[in-house]
Amino acid sequence: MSVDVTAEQKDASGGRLRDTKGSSRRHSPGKIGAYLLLSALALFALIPFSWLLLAAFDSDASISVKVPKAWTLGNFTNLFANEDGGRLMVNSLIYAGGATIILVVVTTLAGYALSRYDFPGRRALMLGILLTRAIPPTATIAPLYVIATDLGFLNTYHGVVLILAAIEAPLALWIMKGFFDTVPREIEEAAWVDGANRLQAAFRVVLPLAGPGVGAGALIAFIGAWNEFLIPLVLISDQDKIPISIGLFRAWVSYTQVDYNFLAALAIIYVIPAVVFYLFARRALQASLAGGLAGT
Amino acid sequence: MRRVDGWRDTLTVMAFLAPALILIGLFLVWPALWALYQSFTNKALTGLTAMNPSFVGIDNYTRLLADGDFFASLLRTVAFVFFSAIVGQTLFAFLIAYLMANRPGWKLRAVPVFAVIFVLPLAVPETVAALTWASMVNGTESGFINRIIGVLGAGPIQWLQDYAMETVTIVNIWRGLSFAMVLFIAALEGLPRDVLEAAMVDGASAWQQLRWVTIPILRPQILTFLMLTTITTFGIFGLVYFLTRGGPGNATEIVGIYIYKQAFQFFEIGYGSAAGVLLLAILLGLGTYYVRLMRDQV
Amino acid sequence: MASTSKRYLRRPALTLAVTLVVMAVTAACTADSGGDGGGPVELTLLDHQEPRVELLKKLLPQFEQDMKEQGKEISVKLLEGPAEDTQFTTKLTLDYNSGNAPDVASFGNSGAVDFATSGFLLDLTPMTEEWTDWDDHFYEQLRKELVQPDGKIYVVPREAQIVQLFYRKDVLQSDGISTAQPQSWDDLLDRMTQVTRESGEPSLLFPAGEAWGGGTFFEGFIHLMLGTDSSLYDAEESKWIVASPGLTDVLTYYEALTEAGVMPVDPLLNPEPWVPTKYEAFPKGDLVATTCGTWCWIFDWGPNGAAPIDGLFKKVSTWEFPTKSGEDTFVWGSSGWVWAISADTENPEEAWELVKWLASGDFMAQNAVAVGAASPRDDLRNVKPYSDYDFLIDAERQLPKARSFVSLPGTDKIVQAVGEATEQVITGRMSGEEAAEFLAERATELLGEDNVKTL
Repeated sequence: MSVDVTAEQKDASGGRLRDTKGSSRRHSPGKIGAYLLLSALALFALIPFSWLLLAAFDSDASISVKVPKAWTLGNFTNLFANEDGGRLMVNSLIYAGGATIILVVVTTLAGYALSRYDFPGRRALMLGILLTRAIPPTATIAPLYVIATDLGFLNTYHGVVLILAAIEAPLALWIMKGFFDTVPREIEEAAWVDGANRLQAAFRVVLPLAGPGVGAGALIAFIGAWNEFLIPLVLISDQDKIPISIGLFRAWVSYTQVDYNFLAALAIIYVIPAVVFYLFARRALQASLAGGLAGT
Repeated sequence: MRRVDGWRDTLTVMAFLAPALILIGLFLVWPALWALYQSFTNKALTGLTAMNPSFVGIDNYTRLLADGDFFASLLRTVAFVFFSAIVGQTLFAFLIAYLMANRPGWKLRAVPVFAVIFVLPLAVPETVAALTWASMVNGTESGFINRIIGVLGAGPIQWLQDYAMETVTIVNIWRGLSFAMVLFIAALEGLPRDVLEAAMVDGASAWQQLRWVTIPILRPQILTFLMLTTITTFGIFGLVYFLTRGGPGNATEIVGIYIYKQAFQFFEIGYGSAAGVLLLAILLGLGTYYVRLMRDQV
Repeated sequence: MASTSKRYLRRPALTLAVTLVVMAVTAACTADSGGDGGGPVELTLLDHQEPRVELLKKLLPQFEQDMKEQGKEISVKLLEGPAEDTQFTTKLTLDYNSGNAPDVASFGNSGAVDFATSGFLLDLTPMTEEWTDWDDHFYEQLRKELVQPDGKIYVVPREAQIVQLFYRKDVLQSDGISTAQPQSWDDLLDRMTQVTRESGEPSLLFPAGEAWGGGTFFEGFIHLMLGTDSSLYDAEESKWIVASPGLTDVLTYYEALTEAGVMPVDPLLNPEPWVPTKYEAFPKGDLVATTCGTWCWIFDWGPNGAAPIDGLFKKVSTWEFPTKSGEDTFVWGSSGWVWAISADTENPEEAWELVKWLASGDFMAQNAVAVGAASPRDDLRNVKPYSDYDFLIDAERQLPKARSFVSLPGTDKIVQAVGEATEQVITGRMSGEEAAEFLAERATELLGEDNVKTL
């Protein structure tokens, strides 16, 4: 296709057209170079995972990357049968799932309001919310700990769920609003004309169309909370309530013998939801984000 | 967009906004303010001041500003941000994306396939990213990187002992580079073709196209991304803490880890809050600039 | 996904209900089952590090059995904390702060003062007054050492440690160097310089620098400080003495050791500095003398230890610490780890039963052998398996005359300042005198001017 375009330009203008790299030939040196670079980068991106994949199925895993002499699924069964794999997983699901449920409800409402209503201070509010994205847990962890203690949130499921939800909220809110913006008002107005009141129109008409956005926002929130490390590290002391991220850390800082079988298997379990999400949501994310690189 | 009109509308808006605003206000904004308050006390988790913290004015700040460790930590973090976020993730990512993106006169195959692979480093949680790299940079001769350089005849290097900060920077570049590339490719492919084609017709070279057409059009997006990754990188904790815990010594003690140590290893909550406030000041400064960039998006 | 969310959100009431139910369920899951008065009691016990935890796993059922025979229904839930000391201290402190503390916890005795002054621990003074074993059998020195600044007792010894110099007598003998007890610092330095001249390797280890954490103070610095005539703390004024002739002497000695090439510097700057030194160089015979404690016979160099040495007792022997003046020599003796009960416990009596059981007879003997410690009581010498371990019993005999340092509020800050000051000396950045000034400044900064004085 590009070949034709260039050829036509050449003919049409009749002037000298400097040959842009590889345009007229399928595999020019430039392109081959680019493919090589891409492959090298892909290798760079993937290689660290090689250890993870090999060690998780190795009955005798160590810190070095090695091909297992004995392939086994034993690490995984051990993880759930003898170690706390099940418990860790359930905890992570409760924290991330709980936070997501709360966020979906909360940000859908707020996103809709911000998208559809204009009121004095709306812009300032939006910019303010955007600004809160610059507040990482790292900076506020000390007062957050004290606040959580005073509220009785320490070491509780509901406390941590709420805090996780709050951390993901600005981003989720921004995305939700963005998606609501993409639903044309005309559709809503058509529903009003048909006799629906504002709320009914909102729920029956707008929401389904913004559905993918809600889904994307929910997934982003879920993954953000699923991956969170510092908050559970500080706020949870009960070993029964720690999520996978902390479970990994505890296993890692073992003084004497690090159990790599356990670590690798746990890491794989931990990674799966995140990877699955990104693979599926990538398209959706890109579509909405590429336009303005908004809310990356 | 409809102007708020009458008490029913006002009530609706307030009801809809309230939960989100309460959540953000209570757990993001309030702690930031509380940090400020707490930084003026000597609250600690153990010892005598645990029971009776008292107001110490700006003592924590004078101590912080005189503390060589804090400045070293700050400097380290700035270097970390510069090399991994600015140079690594933004600059490199953009250049590479430019090489790969679809544009008039240039099309590569299989980019979507690569895109899937490139998303992985960012998709995995920080802890797992750190874990996988722990294996790579293992200091014995069976560490992956050491094996490679061993083939070239160089001795095993203790990456996390001798080159700790460099290693950590590379890990962060690895983490963000690929995804940034994917984003930039999407942005590049979203450019209006006719403008680019017009440039080509005018006889512009690839470099000239880049400099005078592509970059100016994409400037807002590039800046936005740059700001965002700078801000997030400043706040990194888990990735580095998992790998090195700030060590050896203080070699990789970036600001996030410095704050954590003050608050939860030395249990000096007041002092840790002060450091947090300073970090917030930097971040909010950057954040304000970011917000200004995004103005027209609102 | 879209249709699911549509269904939920179409009925805000339903969504709200679902959310509330989810929260209620999770809240219910987290509700504590409080200890019922008079019913079966479950205690939580927090410990860490493998040999200790393994031993508890093995023997706690015996406790439960013993209690049953007395008609009490007590079960113990063993919790294992992070193995590394700093991580463990953080976890325990956060636990105490959050009201989620274990009923009984164990930790190194230097941590007692902070927990006690923060109000986290239960006052055990009335219990120990009732417990005849306490006065009758526990060594007085240890009992005194554990009294906190407010005059009360909050912790009970789990074991006792003697710290002194361990040396390779086989290497000295083959080098033709005297193995007699060094009397003074200079004597020690001279001999070790000779060894280093012969071998070309650093020969003496007094922990120093920041990487070793608390070990720099408790396994290195303090044993030199106690060999001077100056004190670190003024009990009457409750102030730390951050500048004194003795302090300067200690840092100058570190300087001398570094300049003579006798101290291994590189390992001290890296994490886990005890590995290349005590676990590698000492078994190899390059490092010829190091400070170490009773635990080293078992935990470090024993057959199941981290770095076993064959023919341990033929190759390794002990010296007492020399003093600066050479007038006498001494060993350090203190309780190693201790047991404490949380101030918030709902079952103080049952928790005390557990602590008494852990601080007696069988368990204590097994613990001493498992970790390599002496008994803090004088009545265990005939209890197996402790009775089989001569060198542990020998260490126990040294307790009454040993010197020690009582942990006081602010110890952790002094430890920090010492770590930094010694790091400056061994890296050659400061001289002993400069480091002493630095230490005084730093300690004042960390402790606050009101809590320090200078001599």
